[in-house]
Amino acid sequence: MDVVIVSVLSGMSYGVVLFLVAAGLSFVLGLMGIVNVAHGALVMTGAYAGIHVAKATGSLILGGLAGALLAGLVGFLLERAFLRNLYKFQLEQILVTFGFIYILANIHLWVYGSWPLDAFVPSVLNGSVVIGRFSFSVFRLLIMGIGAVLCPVLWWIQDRTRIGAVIRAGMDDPDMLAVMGINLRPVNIAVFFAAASLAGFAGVIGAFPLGGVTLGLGQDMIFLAIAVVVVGGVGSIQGAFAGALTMGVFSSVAGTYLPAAAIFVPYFLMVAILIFRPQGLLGRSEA
Amino acid sequence: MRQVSRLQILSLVVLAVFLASYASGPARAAEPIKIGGLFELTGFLNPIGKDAQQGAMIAIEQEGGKLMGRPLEFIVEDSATDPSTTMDKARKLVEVDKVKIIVGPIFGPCTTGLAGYGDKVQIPLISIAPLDDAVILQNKWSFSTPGTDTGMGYPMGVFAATKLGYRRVATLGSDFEAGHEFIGGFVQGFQENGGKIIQQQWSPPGSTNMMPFLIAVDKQADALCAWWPGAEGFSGFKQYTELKMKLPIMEPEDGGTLASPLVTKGLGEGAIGAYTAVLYSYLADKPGNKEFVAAYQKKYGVAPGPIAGCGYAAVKIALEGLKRAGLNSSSQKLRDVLMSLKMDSVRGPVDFQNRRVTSYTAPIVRIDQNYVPQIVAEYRTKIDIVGGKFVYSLEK
Repeated sequence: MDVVIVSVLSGMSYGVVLFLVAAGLSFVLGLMGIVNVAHGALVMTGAYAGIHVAKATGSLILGGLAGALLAGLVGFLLERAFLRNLYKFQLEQILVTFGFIYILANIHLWVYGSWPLDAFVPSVLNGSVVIGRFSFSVFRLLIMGIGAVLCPVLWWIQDRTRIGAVIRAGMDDPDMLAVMGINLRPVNIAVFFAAASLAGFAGVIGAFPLGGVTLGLGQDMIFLAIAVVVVGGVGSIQGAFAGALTMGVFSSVAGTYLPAAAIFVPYFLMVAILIFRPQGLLGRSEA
Repeated sequence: MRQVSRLQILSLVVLAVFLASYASGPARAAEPIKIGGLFELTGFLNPIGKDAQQGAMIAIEQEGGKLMGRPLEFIVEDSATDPSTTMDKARKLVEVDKVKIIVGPIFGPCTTGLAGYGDKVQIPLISIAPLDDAVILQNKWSFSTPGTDTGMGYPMGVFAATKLGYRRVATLGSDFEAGHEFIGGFVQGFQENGGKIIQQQWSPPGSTNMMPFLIAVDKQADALCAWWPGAEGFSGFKQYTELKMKLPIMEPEDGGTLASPLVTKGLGEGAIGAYTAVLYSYLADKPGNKEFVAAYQKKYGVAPGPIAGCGYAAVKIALEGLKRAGLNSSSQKLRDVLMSLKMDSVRGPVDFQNRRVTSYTAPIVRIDQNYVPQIVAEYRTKIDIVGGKFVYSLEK
């Protein structure tokens, strides 16, 4: 029984990290039609900077803000300098952003060296809860708590605010939005910045369940994040949350009981959703 | 119009001759001897790739920039822990840089692909880590300097059964050739000495989430034998520490992490008391080891880990092969020299015995309370090839 409980809880904490990464990616894809495969590298960028700030200051909050800000800035530069003219060219988007995975990985190799970076866990959260034979970290419970708070907040912004309405309208009918005199360009920039910031923040708190930050984190995260977006549905916070938790728990339980299949689970789920519910679990239907 | 005097013309001629001789001068100087190095400087094995490169550089620097009176050039390329990148970089080293020999890389799928290329262009490839068994048996130009993966795991299995007294062990390995072979060697040594393997799990290569596998370990096991290379080991031990698992843990080979002075402390309390066989130990009393450790510590501020020692040893083998083959030797001559090469190294005696794989010494270490990998035993694995397969035993 302890194995099942720890497996599910571990999957949920991992799923929250996936949610924070995938939520921004989902909106960028849904609103701007941009396939940003460098989104995972933004997770790494935020993680390295944020964890160093957290270790220097002893504050996870400051580290999280620093990671979010730097990743947001890098994302902003990426959009303004390279992607702004490639909105309609998906192959070019993929090529450019794929190149940025390597550029960012090599910059971090040069600055921080090659060994993985350990997560920052405040001493007050260093404890654990005993579940049978295992200890389950209090920090993972915090991560789940962060997900439980952020998801409704982001959902509220999406569904109950003017900016959320503009974003949803922009996904459904950008031409109509333009006719109504709403300039979507600043919205696009703001969404890209916010998505990148969320990814950077995910890197800081996600370093713990991910076992540290590595230079390959960008490549590892992006494929999973894309799978989450497909499973949950494009352009939907609740979809990203549902998809991420589903992915996290299924992967964890599969790893425990069917290790040979663990690597396939996220992609098997993605294929199944594409066949039976192409809009995703809670995605927006085609207009 | 000013008349040009004969003296001015003569001066111009002398100047032109002088410039022409100066320009062609360097072309007449000795051509450098070039060695290629392929290291995982990016990708999931980049931590140990960097270690290997650092160890290799010490070996090159000890030659003082010259080999047999000619300039020595070590051209390093990043194999990126990726087979296709490895092939591109290898082609560049051979076809553009014209290296005489290549050292590295580490990652099994990369060395397997490279071995076929080495056979095609007939250039010796000196491994840093053990090569896959199939590569040693089938490819004629690849030299496995620290033996084989299976042979590395074998003494740890013997040690676990005979000295640690374990009877039932669960295993967890990274799911690619090296993982299967290291764990396979451990299983062989363990079972030959009365032990029983009650569970085997395989984690996806490059995976940093070991939680599902760790919590699935059979509770009947006396101990867990895990093999995690590079960054996987970092995550694996962190999560083993997080779960506060009471099950003893050991590795058939440290994966460049557990016994690496740079990272052992960062693995957490779970690393204390863990046993592993290592490809190299900075504490071992071997010829040249004190000098290597001193030079490495001076340059990098930390003692060399197992993979750094392997990088150093691999380059030393390459250099010795070049020296014994002589200046301007052909690739075939170089290969023949390597086949019969016998020498001392910081890892113990090297003796290829015309088989392209050397028997070697495997120290077994235990991580103490200060995170120092103390040597607790040393085994010399004997490798025989019988009927196209490797047979392992321990030398008395």
